[in-house]
Amino acid sequence: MEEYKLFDGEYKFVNIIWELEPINSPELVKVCEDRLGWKKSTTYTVLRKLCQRNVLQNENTIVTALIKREQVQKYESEAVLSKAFNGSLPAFIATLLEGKKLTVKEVNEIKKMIEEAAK
Amino acid sequence: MKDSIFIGILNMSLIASVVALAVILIRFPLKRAPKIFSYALWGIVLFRLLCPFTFESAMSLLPVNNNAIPQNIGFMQKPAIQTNIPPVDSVVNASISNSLPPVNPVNSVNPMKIVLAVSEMVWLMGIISMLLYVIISYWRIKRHTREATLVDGNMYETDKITSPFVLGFVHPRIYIPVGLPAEQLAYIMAHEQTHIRRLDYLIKPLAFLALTIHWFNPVIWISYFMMTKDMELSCDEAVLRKSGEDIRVGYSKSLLSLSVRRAGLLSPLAFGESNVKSRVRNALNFKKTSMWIIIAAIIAVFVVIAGFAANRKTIVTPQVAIQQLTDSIKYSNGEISFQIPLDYTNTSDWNILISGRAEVNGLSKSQHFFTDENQNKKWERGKTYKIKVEGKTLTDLIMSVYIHGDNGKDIGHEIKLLDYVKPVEGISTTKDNLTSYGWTNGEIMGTQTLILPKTLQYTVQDSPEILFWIRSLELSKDIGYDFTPFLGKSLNVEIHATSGTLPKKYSDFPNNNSRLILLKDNGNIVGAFICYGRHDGLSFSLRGRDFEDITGMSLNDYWQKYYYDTSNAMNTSAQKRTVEQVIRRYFDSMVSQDRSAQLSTLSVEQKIDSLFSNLDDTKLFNNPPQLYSYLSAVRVVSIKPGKSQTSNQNGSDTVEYEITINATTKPDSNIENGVNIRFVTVRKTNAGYCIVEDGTGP
Repeated sequence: MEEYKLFDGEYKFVNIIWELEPINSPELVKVCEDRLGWKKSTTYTVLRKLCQRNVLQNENTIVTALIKREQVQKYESEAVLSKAFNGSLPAFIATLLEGKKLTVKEVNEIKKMIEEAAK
Repeated sequence: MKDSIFIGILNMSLIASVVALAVILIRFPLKRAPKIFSYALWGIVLFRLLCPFTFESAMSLLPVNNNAIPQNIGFMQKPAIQTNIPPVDSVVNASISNSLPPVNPVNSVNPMKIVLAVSEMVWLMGIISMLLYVIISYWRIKRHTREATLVDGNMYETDKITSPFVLGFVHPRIYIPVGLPAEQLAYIMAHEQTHIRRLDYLIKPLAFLALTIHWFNPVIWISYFMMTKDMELSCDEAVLRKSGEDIRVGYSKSLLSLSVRRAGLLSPLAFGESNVKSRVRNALNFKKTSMWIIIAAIIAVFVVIAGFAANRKTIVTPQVAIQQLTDSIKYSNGEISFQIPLDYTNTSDWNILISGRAEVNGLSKSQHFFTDENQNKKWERGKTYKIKVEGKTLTDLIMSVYIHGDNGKDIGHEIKLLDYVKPVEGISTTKDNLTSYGWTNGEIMGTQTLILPKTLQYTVQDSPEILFWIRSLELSKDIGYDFTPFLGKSLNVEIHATSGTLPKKYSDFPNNNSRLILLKDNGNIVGAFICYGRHDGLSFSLRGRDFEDITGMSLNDYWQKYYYDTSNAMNTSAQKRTVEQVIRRYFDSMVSQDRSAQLSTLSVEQKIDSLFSNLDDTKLFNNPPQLYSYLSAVRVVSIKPGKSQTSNQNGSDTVEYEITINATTKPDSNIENGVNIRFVTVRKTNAGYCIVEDGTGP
């Protein structure tokens, strides 16, 4: 059985379809606006993406799921971020704008500060 | 002239830097006060960075002038700034004048203007890259929050971010990573809602805009980071203050744990943002501040804002006002223009008289200008006054600029406008500019492209054209055209027929038709003088002054003073020659046709004449120079000194020699073969003996 990795938003979206399928797309837009706070365009974009990946199917505006709940695995966010942002900014600008990343030593120092204050 | 935005920005940046430095200093004593005061202080820096308009107040704490960098710096003969802080001015202005080549006062572009234009380009490119950066960052964040799902109210969650932040301008939303522990979520909500309530989500982009415009200023970068830190610290404090119970430890833990998670996403307003250590320390040390500290902080902030919001009232002293007016005077194309300084408010103090003297039909007649304005005290500050005067017939034109001083004494000075030739930019036609000197600008007799000598150093045996350029440079400088920067470079020469009145000392000269020589670089005049041309190359400036009038010395003395290298071997050997050696060398050079040898025996005047004898007047000068060459073989039989000439046109330092030669002459010369007597006049100069004249009779 093939496994599908989904982002949190996609996962919640597919959840709605499992719950309400078969559902026609205008109605889906309404439900997504309600539950996810999505605009019409977001709903259609995600729907199209997931149809292309054969997660969902949209035939004559009727949307159904092509996969089962057990086949889905959520992405781990850290991995995505490092993929999306690594090297995308010149290092010095990133450092200037966002501050240095914490070192283990610094984290321990701060932990100690908090522990002492908590006593 | 339209004010340059760039120079305006430079001035704003300068003032904002001073304000920012003051804020940085005041932050130290405010360390123990709530951070909201430090944060508020940056508001005044932001105001100065973004708002070009402000008001003037005598109470201003600003030590600097609001227009330290003058708008016309690109056109100034000596670019200079005026901050009102003398040490700053002297250091900056010295480095400006050291690093820039001297201004060529003619129509070539002022180096400062080039520097400005290049800087402006760099500045704009910096802005564009900063904007691109922020647009791309915003677009990335937008993309990563698009599929975020609604949690509650204006809070959305997504697994594509690691730290919470506020995003949006009209309806800002809080975005949080999925799966945060409930306790952290409460703190984050409180923190981000505080940001939203205080409109920080608008202030931060505004501050970034200011940073974008002033990106070249390191003080502003420091300010930006300090401001965002103060923003976060004060936001943390607001959360802690609002909370009923002591949440310092829990809040600090949340800060730390979110910082550990963060993955370097540019976060517009992030909870777990930079400087965690200082934020944790600040949160842990948080306690309700005493009333006294708050009152003191309020006063401090009020003083800073009141003191730095307004510009210092510009107080212009009469001396400065007179200088400003003097600097604004332009006299060209027969038109006088000047500006009444804007910043000197007591316009009724001005006493400005312009009077000229004109020759009309042989009668001298005086003329006065702007008499109405002056008598009725109608001068308007900031206004530019212009008037056409007939340049051609004026023999005198004087502008007197005075201010009635408080103590009843007038201060000011008189300016001789005929001496005050300040070429304006953009002169393109010779007609417009030069006719005011009274020379007509006739048809072009000839054009030529030639390369000026690299240096005006002149060694005795060199081609005399260098002497010609030494002379021409001074003549041209007499009307403000210094072509020194073009030495070694190629220039176009235009020879115009011209007529006009020759200087009085040349009144016995056959006629008034002469040649106007224009030196042009890319169509711009860089030099101009009158050179009669054929035969003796009589030359003077357009103001009718010859070389001696201008420099106070003869060309020979001038050369030896400025362009004569005493250590040069050719010069020293020429200097050591005896009269006899010089005379023999002179005759021998004709036979050997050694041009250099003959040149080293001739006087400066002889050499200059060689450039013009039998000149084709469509040429600037003979090239090569026409030297003596009537002999094809010679033996000097005897050299007899004649009497020293005391009242001779050649000068008191000359001696005439009677020289017997036995020679073979050239067929086209009018001298017969065999024994001849020549009368040669020799002058003793610091550069050695030289021949002033060679003739057949005494």
